[in-house]
Amino acid sequence: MIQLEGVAKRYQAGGQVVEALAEYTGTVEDGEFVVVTGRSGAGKSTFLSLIGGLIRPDSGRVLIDGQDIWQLSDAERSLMRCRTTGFVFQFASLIPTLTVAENVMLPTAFLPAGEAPPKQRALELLEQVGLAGYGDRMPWQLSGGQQKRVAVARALLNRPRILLADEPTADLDEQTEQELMALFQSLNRDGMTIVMVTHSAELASLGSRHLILSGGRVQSAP
Amino acid sequence: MPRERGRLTMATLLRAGIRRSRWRSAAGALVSLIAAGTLFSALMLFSGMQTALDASLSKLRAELLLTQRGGAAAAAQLLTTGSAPPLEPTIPVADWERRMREGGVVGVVAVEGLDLSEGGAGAPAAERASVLLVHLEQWATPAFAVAEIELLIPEAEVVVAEQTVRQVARQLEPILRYLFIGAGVAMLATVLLTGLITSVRVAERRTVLGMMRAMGASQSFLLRLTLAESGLLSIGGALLGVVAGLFLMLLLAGDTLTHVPQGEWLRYGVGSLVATVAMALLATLGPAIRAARMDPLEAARRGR
Repeated sequence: MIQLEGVAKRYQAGGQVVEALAEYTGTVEDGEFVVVTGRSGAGKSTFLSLIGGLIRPDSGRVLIDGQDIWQLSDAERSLMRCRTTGFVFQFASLIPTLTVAENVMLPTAFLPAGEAPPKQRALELLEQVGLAGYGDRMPWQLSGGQQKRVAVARALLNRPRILLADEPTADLDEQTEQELMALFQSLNRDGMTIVMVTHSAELASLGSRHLILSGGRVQSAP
Repeated sequence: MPRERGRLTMATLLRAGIRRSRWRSAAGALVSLIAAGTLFSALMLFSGMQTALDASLSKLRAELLLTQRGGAAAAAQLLTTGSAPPLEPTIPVADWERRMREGGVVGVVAVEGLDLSEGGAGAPAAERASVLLVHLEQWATPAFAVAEIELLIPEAEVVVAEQTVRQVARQLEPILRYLFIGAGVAMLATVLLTGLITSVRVAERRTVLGMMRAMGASQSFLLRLTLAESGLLSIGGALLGVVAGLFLMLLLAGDTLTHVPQGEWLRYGVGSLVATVAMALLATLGPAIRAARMDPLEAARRGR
């Protein structure tokens, strides 16, 4: 369970203070699929970064399974993120000089030696995202949609319970977008908690809950 | 094989990072190569020259060198390098020694003849010598002895050891100064260029570094990764620089290098390498800290 208690975040931009998130209190229950929408610059990515413990709130607390993540050291928080949370970015951000399988295995570099899943896990995930047999290829040999699926496999490698996605369907064609959303829904059915940020109102209906961000304020969609 | 066990090691990430921007990696290594090579060459040349002068002085143990007119240059070279070009043995040793003794040159302890007909370090000569080595008492003033010898043996040219060595050292001073200025500039360039190259490398990989952070890389992991990458390139470059500097110096100043004591070679090599790598790491620290502290999602977007 993810809890945000009075979480606020402000930025300095052009000499002015911009309120990215204003004193938000809310909870994402285990197994929920929360879709966050809002206009550009509404603070959607900031909201996701706060949930993922990537940026420190100016005030308030972020709790994952009851643990205030900002009470942990950076190393502990990073390890916790590695174990519990998977990230899917707007862009695949694969390392071009590693093979597809090595890219999927990237999160293992941040785990203690004994905890790393075997290489077979990466190959199984590639199969799950429809890229069986692509493990030895290089990222540049894949299409944009295929690269995005590799990024999803990478996010799932450490069997995270939470998946955070920042505009995951940007730059994708309609069919790949549908396939990706089908995969997200399938993962959610299997119990994974998903928080997805998107500018697309159409995708909002796919989640179990829809939040709208505007001017730093979070509202639940009707 | 770490990959088969399923865990990606930092070594794999380092290799991937270096291979990703090959030209910038090569530029980073080249900067260290030039810096370490210049520093090593300067140190070796300095040490070689100093040791050669000291060795020549202590080997001859003579305060004055006497030659026939026109032989002073060869005597000075013998004094400063320990080796002279061939010089005809035309000095009547016994006659010159007698004239000095009878003339009462103050402070003369001993006189030795040296045959330089074959050149090099020369051989002792009892009858005819190319150079006469004059040993003085510790309290004796060479200038007085020179004045007396020039009166007693007008055909002799007198070379004062200490004066010659000091003169050579004065001549070498600007060369060494430029060499050390060059080394200093190379070290400064290492700091500036390594910092610049690392900044560019970090900027162009902002997305990947941000993604790693989101995936669970701690700030210290990213700091270590960036520092290790620069450190590896710098070590590689500096090693090649020391080897290149050594070959260049052997080619250009091989004679001088033979005077550098054995242990000093290693000391200067390791010293140049450590100094260069330390400078490179110092320059990398700023960009590495920025890489570790970046906001991953912001980095992912700006990186595009």
